[in-house]
Amino acid sequence: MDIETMAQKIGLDVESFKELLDLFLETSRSDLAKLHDGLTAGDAQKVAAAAHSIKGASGNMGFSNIYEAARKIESDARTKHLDNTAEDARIIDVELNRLDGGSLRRE
Amino acid sequence: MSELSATNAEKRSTNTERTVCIVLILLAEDNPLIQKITARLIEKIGHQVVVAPDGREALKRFSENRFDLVLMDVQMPEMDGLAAAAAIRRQEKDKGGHLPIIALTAHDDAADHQRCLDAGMDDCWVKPLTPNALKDMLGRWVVQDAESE
Repeated sequence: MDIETMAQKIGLDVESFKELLDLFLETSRSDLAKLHDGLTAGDAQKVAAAAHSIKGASGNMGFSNIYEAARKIESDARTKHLDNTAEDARIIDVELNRLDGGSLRRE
Repeated sequence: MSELSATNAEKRSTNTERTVCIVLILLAEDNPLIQKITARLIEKIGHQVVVAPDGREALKRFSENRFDLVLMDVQMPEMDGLAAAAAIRRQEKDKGGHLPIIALTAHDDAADHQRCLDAGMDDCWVKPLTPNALKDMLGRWVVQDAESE
């Protein structure tokens, strides 16, 4: 999907979208780091809070793969299940890198 | 801040076409990215927005400005959206008026919606907010009121 289509999907112009994409990548990377910290410490509440933040931001940006992974992590963490969290977090990491280095950036 | 509401009232009184009414929206939302996206959407369709990062700040803004609509995130630090909405309704009991408050929630479930209504909110929207949803909301809760003034 190109940047015009993605911007249009959430009702923004390309300039605004690019600016918000930068902010999204920055905040989501910071949240993902917190999520990993929480996972290392076995702190399900911290994992859920970080996943909640990523979920909200990705949902608003229209990034459904990230949204779905974050939603699953949050819901698992709320019931103290962290077994699949590392794997789901990897999906988010891959998607963030794709958005950062992918076709969206070349424009 | 008072300048904003003056502009708002002025524009409203000089415009009779419902599509050109400029409304002033209070957005209570703690996620910085969602704040920005939502504020951008609001400005893009020609309206004005004041952002508050939590319920306490939202209450402060509420007392400083005359808003047409509140978009209230439910899960926020300091004071959540339910408590902030309830506090606004308590103040209105003394001062009069009824500001439309729309909950923005992350959860699509009936119990969650009911909690928002019980706190005094008028409606509930499951995030993310889209431009069309925002326009529908304004048409339903704001523009008709402004038109009849």
